[in-house]
Amino acid sequence: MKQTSSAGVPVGSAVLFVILWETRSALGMLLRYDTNVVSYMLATMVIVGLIAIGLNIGLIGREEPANDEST
Amino acid sequence: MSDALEAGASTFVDQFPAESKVVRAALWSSFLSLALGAVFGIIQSLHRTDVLRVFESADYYTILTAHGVLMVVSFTIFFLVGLFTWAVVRSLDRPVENIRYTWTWYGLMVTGSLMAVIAILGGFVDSTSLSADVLFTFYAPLQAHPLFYGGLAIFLIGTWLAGADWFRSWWAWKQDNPDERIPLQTFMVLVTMLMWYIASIGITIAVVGFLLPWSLGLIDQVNPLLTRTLFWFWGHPVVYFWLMPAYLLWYTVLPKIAGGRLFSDPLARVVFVLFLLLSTPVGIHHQYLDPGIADGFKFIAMTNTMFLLLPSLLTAFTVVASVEHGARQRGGTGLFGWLRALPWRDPAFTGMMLAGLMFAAGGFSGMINAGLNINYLVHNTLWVPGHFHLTVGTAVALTFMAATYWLWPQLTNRRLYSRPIGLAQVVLWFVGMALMSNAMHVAGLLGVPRRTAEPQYEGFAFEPMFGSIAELDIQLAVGGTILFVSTLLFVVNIALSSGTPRVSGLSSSLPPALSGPNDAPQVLDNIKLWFGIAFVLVILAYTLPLASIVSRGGLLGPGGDAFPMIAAPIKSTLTPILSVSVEWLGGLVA
Repeated sequence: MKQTSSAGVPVGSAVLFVILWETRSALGMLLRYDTNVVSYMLATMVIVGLIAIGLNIGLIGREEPANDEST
Repeated sequence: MSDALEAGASTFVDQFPAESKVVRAALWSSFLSLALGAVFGIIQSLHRTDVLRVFESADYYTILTAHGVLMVVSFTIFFLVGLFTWAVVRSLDRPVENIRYTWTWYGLMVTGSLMAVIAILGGFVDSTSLSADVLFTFYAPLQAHPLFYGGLAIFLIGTWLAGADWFRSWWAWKQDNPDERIPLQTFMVLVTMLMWYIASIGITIAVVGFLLPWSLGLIDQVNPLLTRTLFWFWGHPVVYFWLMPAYLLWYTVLPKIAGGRLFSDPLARVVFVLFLLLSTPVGIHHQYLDPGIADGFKFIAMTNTMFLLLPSLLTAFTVVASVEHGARQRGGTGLFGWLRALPWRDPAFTGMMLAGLMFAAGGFSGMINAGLNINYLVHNTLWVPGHFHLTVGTAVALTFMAATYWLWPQLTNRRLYSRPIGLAQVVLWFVGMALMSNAMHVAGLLGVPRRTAEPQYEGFAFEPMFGSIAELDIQLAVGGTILFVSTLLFVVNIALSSGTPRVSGLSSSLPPALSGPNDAPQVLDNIKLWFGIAFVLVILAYTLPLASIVSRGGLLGPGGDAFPMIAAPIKSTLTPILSVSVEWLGGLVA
C-alpha cells in the first residue's frame, strides 16, 4: 500500500486540482459568481499542496497492508 | 489461446516474432504521426491565443489540417491496426495466414498517409500547386489537390485489407474450432471492422465518386450538401472506429492490470453489437444547421444518437465493476476505500483510468452537441473542439499511450525506459487537457468561434460571464503547452525503451472473465445477423435524406434550399392552391 499511496498522491492531487479549477468555471457559468483568477489559482494550489503533503507524511489517510503489483 | 502466453511463460514477440514486427511498425507509424501532429497542435494553440506566432495567419488552415489529419487519421488508425493485429493473433493463438499480405496492407496505409501529408504540407510552399487546406472535415466546397484524395483512398483500401486479414484468420481458426465461441478480443475486432466497412461506404462515394474527379477537373462542380452528408455518414462512426479499440483495452487489459478480471464477457459483446448497430445511422446530428435537410431527419438522427449513450453507460458499469473486483482482490475494502488499493504507480493503469474519467465529461458535452435545439448554442464554436479533445483527444489518445506502456515490453522483450516518466506523462496529459478543454468549452459557450486564427472580430468583444477572454486564452495556451510536453515525454520514453537490454519474464497474461463467453446467448456471435440489421438501419436512416438532397440539388448540382426549411413545404402547399384559384378566377372572368 505504501508504494500505491506514494503514486496515488500525485495522481489524486492532479484530479483534485482539476475538480477545484473547474469548480470556478461552474460558479461563473451557473451562478454568475466571479472569482479573482489569481487568488483562486493560488488558493487551489495551496489546498492541493497541503493535502498532498498531508497524505505524504501520513496526517491524512491510513496505512494498509502492501499489495502492489508491477507490470 | 496459447497456454504458454496465458501462463505468462512467453511474450507475444517470443510466440509470434513476424507479427510483432508488423505491430511495432504500425505503432511507430502512429507515434511519429502523434509527434508531428503535436507540433502543429502547439503552434495553433499559441497562435490563435496570440501568445506566440511563428506562421502567418494565412497558413493557419494548413496547420489545422495537418494537426487534424495526423492526429485523428494517422495516429489513431495506425495504432488500432497494430493493436487489432496483436489482439487477433493473441486471442486466436495463430499467426496471420500470410505475413506478406499483412505487410501489403500496412504498406498501402503508409503510402496513402505520405501522399495525404505531402499534399497538406505543400500548402506551406508557395511555388507548388500542392495544397490541401481542407481541414479534417474535407467536404466541398473546400477543394484539395488530387494527391490528398488519392492518398486518403489508398489509406482506406489499406484498412479494408487489414480487416480482411483479420477475418481470414478468424475463418481459418473457425475451421479448426467449429464449436468454440469467438474469443472476446477477436469478436471485438471483427464487429468493429464490420462497422467500419458500412461506414466507409459514405466516404468512398464522396472521395472516389465526387471529390477526386472534381479535383482532377473531370467534373465542374459537386453538390456540397451531398458531399457533406456522405462525409458525416462516415464522420461519426469513425469516432467509434477510434473509440472501440480503446474499449477493447478497457475491457480486456485494464481489469488485468487492476489485479482482477473482466466482470462480464457477454455484456462486452452486447456493447460492441450495439455500437455496430447504432454508430452509423446518426451522422446527420453533425448537420443540424445545414439547410437542405428537413428537421424530421435531424430529429431521427438525434434520437438514434441518444441511444448510443447506452453502450457507453454499460461500459462505465462493466469496467468500473471489473476494476473494483481487482482492487478487492488486492486487499481493498470499504465503500470507496478500495480505490486506494489500485496500482496508481503503473502508468498503464493510471493513464487508462484518467482517460475513462475524461471520457465521462466528454460524454456529457457530447449530449449537448447531440441535442437538436441546444446544439444551436454551441455549433461551430470552440465548445466543439473542447468536446472532441476529451473524447478522441483523451479517452482514445491517452488510453492508447497508456496501453503502450503495458504492450510495448511484450512486443520487444525490453523493459520500459522509465515508469515514473510514464506516470508523469499521463498525469500531465490529464491536467493539460483539463485546462485546455475547460477553456474551450467556456469560450464556446460565450460564442468564440472554432476554425479561425483570428477569433476576435473588429469592433466586437465577447462578453465573459466571469473572468476574461484573455484569461481563457492563457488557460488554453498553458494547457496546450502541457499536452505538447506530455507528448514529447511519451515518444522519447518509448524511443529510449528500444535501447534497454532484452530480458525475459515480461509476459503478462490476460485472465478469463468472471462471467465467461458461455454465459452469453449464442446469437451474439452471429455477426452476419448483426451486420444485416446494421445495414438495414443505415438504409432506413439515409435513403430518404440522400434522395431528397439529390432530387433537389442533383448529383453534381449546387444543391440545398434556403434556411429555414419551413419555406419549402409552405411553397409546395400554396402553389397548387394558387394555380387552381387562378384557373377558377380565369374561368369566371371568361
